[in-house]
Amino acid sequence: MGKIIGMFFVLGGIMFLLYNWVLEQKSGSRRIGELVVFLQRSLFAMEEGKMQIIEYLKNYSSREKILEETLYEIAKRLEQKIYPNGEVVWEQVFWEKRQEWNLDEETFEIVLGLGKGFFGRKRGENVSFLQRGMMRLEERQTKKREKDAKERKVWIPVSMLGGIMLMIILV
Amino acid sequence: MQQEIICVFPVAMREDFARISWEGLEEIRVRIGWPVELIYDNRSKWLGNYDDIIDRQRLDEMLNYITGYSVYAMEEDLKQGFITLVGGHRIGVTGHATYERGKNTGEYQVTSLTDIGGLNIRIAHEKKGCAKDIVLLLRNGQSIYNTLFFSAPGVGKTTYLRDAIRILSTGDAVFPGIKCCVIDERSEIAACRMGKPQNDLGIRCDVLDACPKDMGMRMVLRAMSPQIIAVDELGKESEFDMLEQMCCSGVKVLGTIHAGNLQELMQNKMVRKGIDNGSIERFVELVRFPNGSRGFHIYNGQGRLLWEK
Repeated sequence: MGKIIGMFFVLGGIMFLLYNWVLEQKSGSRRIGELVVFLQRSLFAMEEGKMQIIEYLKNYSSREKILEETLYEIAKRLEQKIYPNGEVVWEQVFWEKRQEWNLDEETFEIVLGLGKGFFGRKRGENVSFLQRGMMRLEERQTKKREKDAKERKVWIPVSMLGGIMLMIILV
Repeated sequence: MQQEIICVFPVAMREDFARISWEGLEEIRVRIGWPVELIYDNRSKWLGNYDDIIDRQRLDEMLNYITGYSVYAMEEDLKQGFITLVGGHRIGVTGHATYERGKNTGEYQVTSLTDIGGLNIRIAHEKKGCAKDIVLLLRNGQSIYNTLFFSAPGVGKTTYLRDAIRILSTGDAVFPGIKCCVIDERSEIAACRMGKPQNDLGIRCDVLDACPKDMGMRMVLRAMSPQIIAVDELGKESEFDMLEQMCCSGVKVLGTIHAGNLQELMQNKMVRKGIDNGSIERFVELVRFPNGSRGFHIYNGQGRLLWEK
């Protein structure tokens, strides 16, 4: 009886860890997706109208709270009018929130570089830069999904086997 | 007002503004390679040390503060040669212009302004109440007479026009507020920034910004049911023709025109035509006295002096 209860505790713990890990992986993927949506909307706003960057970033809403908070923080700092350069503020805030973003290094470098597309002098150059950034993020997202799918093919049978072995040992 | 101006300057230079006098300050001129120049009524001085010059980096920093880090979003304003700041202050911009001949108009138009090398910050001085006496003397029942303000340049026609609009649209205990529409072709009356007038034009005023006057008058007449239309710097025949149409539609007109004195004004054939067809009923001449204060003379359509102050 004790063994059965202990087995359930162990299995429950493993399931919990696995669940959190999967959530983390999915949220990373979702964040990249939300960044892509943000860039799409920004490109539209930039091409169609007079996008005032501070108002735009301050009022941007997203399903990802971290994206909203980051953009809001950038807008708040820009409003103070003490930073000579908007790109520097963009990088600064993203660096400060790097852990919360939990992106891999390559993706994070792409995101850091997006500041050039928002604070450049010419609309045409900004649009072109952001389009390239968006494409690179989409590529990262596709690669991540493929990698996750491959890992799932390995981890699912391994964890099932591990669970069965645990059951045999404990029972 | 001071903070609105100071915050567009580089952070390193802002402390210098604590040591200047803002009384009588009319313009601040910024040029690459030179120190910042402060221009008062009858003198000028440099901001800080003469060695404290504006370089490309500092000017770019200023452009970021002026445009809210969105220089590309202000392309149209830059093509016009000026940007309006919060508070109604106007910043004239010079640099390298590229232009082309318009396909429809055949006239040359600036297509972009790059390599910006100079800024001229004109400090806006709203003078609320300056037109109070004038408006009282222009009343005609619940409305006003069709009126033109005139003077030589720099006396304050636009300032008085702006205040007159504010008084008329706000109203008071005796006269209710009137629906006013302003055709602000050069963005000097309302000084709109992102659609919001930076100058106080009262609560019943609608502004059509950066629109040619004759076209604008037609548009607001159709859609905005104005009781008064205000325009600045009338000059073209088409604009005076539109004034006549306004008056035939029951709309009263407030405008300004350049003229040194009444005789010069009366020699303007478009003004004479306006007098004949009733679209101009009163003239307000603004005068500047040697001590800098302003006065006015009000004439009827025939040029007879009615009031002076």
